[in-house]
This record gives sequence, structure tokens and C-alpha cells, in this order.
Amino acid sequence: MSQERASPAEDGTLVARMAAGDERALGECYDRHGSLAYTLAYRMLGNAADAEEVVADAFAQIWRSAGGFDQARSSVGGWICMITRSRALDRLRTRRRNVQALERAATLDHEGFALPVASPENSPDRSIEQSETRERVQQSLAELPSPQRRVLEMAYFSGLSQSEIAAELNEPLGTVKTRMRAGMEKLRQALRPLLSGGAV
Amino acid sequence: MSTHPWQDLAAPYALDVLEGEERASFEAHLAECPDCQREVEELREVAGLLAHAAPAVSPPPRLRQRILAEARQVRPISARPQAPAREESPPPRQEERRDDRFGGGSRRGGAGGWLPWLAAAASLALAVISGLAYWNERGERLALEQRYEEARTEVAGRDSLLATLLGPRVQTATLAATGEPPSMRLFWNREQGVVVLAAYDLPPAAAGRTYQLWGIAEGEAPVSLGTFDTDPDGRATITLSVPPGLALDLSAVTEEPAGGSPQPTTTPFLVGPWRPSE
Repeated sequence: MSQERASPAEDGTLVARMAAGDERALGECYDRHGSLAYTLAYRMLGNAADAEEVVADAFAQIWRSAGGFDQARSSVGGWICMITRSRALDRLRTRRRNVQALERAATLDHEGFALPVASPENSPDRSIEQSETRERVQQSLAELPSPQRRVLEMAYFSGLSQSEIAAELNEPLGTVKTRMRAGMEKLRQALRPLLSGGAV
Repeated sequence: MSTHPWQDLAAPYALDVLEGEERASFEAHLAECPDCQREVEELREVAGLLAHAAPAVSPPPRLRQRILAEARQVRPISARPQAPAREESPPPRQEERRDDRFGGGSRRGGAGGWLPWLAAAASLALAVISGLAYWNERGERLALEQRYEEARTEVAGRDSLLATLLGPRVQTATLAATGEPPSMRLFWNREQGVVVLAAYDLPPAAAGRTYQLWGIAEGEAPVSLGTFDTDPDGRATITLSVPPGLALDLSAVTEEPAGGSPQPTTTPFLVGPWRPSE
């Protein structure tokens, strides 16, 4: 279990080696954080092919931009997740645009698509299953009131705006805003020890 | 800080789901408010940890090889290839600035993941030359020269394709079946009157059948842009000529009898909107 917060110092060294063009460092960085990035992308996009594209894109960017990584602002794992999520959000938003365009297309108003969706055969990943960070995050989320948890998950994993969430849940926008803020605040308290400013 | 009037926006901003006016005004405020900057940074960290809430899945082993192989092609040395023409206009988002400060990304769909790579390949030759001294020190000149030759060959082959993709009046479209594979990217160079089609994860058409690409202007009958097929690994990069004077809202792909059809005879399985050229 060589996961994320095991060694921020080592992580920093890895990134410095990547910035110097050391390909092995990229491999090590992937070994350390690739599973989490893939897990995140898969959760957001729901299929293996898109998750793979997104993670490959994200690591390409990580490789290119390693020289500018600022350890004071983020952990390496956090940085990688942020880039991965940002790429995945691009895809999600493109999908939504396509669906909307399709709905507008007068000449193409058939229902459904001909191609079956292959079901991905992914196995659970043991290496990140038992990480301490993971346990803590899951527990903290489980302790949130479920409406708050739902709102956070819809925002984080599906990239839905507050008004989109309100529409989806059929709740007033104000309620969604309150839940999002309250949920983030509770999570912040619960996860304080994992944050860079928090005492360990 | 708990009564700070802007604080309601910090959480959605940190989750990157704040949009439009709200986002713009919050960013304007953020630039001047150290309290909110701290707040957003910390909430971003909290948000980042949510990745751990996803059920763990293992990436396929080939993904690691692919990432390393692509890295080898794109940035052989500390020189950073910049993808041309990727600076984009919408209001800067802080996260993007952090992401794209150094390498330029493929945000907002568009050419997606691989156009920057292709562009980067073109600048590879230059980067390799300027990096010779560095690699000399590491005693890897021979290996480098070999790679240079390979890169040069590859770049030469892609030069004209690249020119087509990066022309001044190029429109793009991403086609997908409700977001699932297969997928396709289209680049329409109006000056050259061609569409470059790049397909992924699309199995070759059955015997006696072919794929056909359609252009659709809203409310009008589809116009055939040509037929194509993919190779056994599901990929195709094909250049099709397009009649001048077309204005298209959408493109779609159907499977048709070999030779193609005047109008679609099956339900399109890939559809996507054309984005205006930038």
C-alpha cells in the first residue's frame, strides 16, 4: 500500500525528478497515484474506456507541468486528483452538450442508440482499499446527513451546478446551497487532520 | 469569517461547479480577499479528498505502459513543448490557471486529448536539437539520435495532417454514443474543404457494410460526407472532402450497405454538435 499520504517528502522528490525529465519517476508516480486517479475517473465517467483516456491525459499533463508543481499549495495526490477530475469534467460536460444537441435535432429524433454499451470488467483495487485516508474520508462522508452527502457527491463526481442539482432533486435552490455549504463545512472539520494546515 | 457575505460561494467554487455570473463575480472578489483565498484553498483540499469516496477499481495494466510511452514521445527533455493555438478565451478559472500554467491543456473538449500531443510531436524535433547538450552530459546521445530519427519520420508524416487540423478556420465536433465508446472527433478545415475524422474503439463494419458520416443542418435532410471503415483495433484517421458552402449543426454516423446510401437507412449510433471555429 504505497498510497498518497504515505510520504509527502518522497512525493515531492518524485515530482522534482519528473521535472528533470526522469521517466522512471513518472512510472513511480503512476504506481503511487494512478489507481486513485483511475478510480476517480471511473466513478465520474462510468466506463473504463473514458476513464483510461482521462487518466492518460491527466498524467500527460502532470508530466509536462511537473516543473511548476507547488508543494506548498497541494499534496501531489491532491494535485493529480484535481487534474484528473478537471479532465473528467470536460468529458461529462461534452456529453451533456451532445445529449442536448441530439434532443434539438429534428431530423434525428429516434429514441435510443443502436450500439450496446459494453460492461467493463474492472476488479476492485485492493491497494487503495485499505488506505487510512480512504477509511477516514468514507467514514466522514457516512456521518454526514444523507441529503448533504448526496449534494456533495452530485457536485464532485457529476460536476452538476447547484441549480442543476436543485432541478435533479426537485428541491429549492436555497436548500441545495445550504446543504452544500454545511456538508463541506462538516467534512472540513472531520478531515482536518488530513489537510495541509491541520495538525496531524 | 463565518459571516462573510461571499462565503456561500466558496464551497461551490472549490467544487468547480460555480458558473456564469456568480463565478465571475466571486473570482473578482477572490482576487482581493485573502480570507476567501485561504477558504477556497482549504475547501479545495477537502473536495480533493472526496476522490477517496469512490469504489476502488484497478486500472488496466496497459494504461501504465501507455502513459510512459506517450511521455517518452512528448517531452524527452526539460524543454516543454507548447501546443499552439490552445490559448482560450473564457474567464480564467483559478483551477485552470493552476492546471495549465505550464503545459497547456486540452480543456473544453475541442481537440480533446490528442491534438496537443500531435502538436507536441511537431515541436519535438526542435526540442531534441536544443536539448542535445543536456543529453550529452548524460551520455545518451546515441539513443537520442535514434529517437530523433524516429521522431523526424513521424513528424514528417504528420505535418500535412497537422496543418489541416490547425488551420485558421477549423471547426471541431466530438461524436459519441451518449458518452460511451466508441467515439469520434471531427476537424473540418473549411479552406481546404476537408473533414479529418478520427475514430476510436469502433469495430470494423460487418462484411458488406460500411460506416457513413453525415452532416446535418437543423431541420434539413442529412448530407453524406463520405464512407469509411476502421482498422481491426477500432481506429481510423481519415480525410474526407466536403462540398463547399455547407453550414452544419451536427454530424452523425450510421452503418450502411457497402458503398453508402443517399440517406441514412439505420439509426445513427454516433452523434455530436459542430462547434464554431475559434
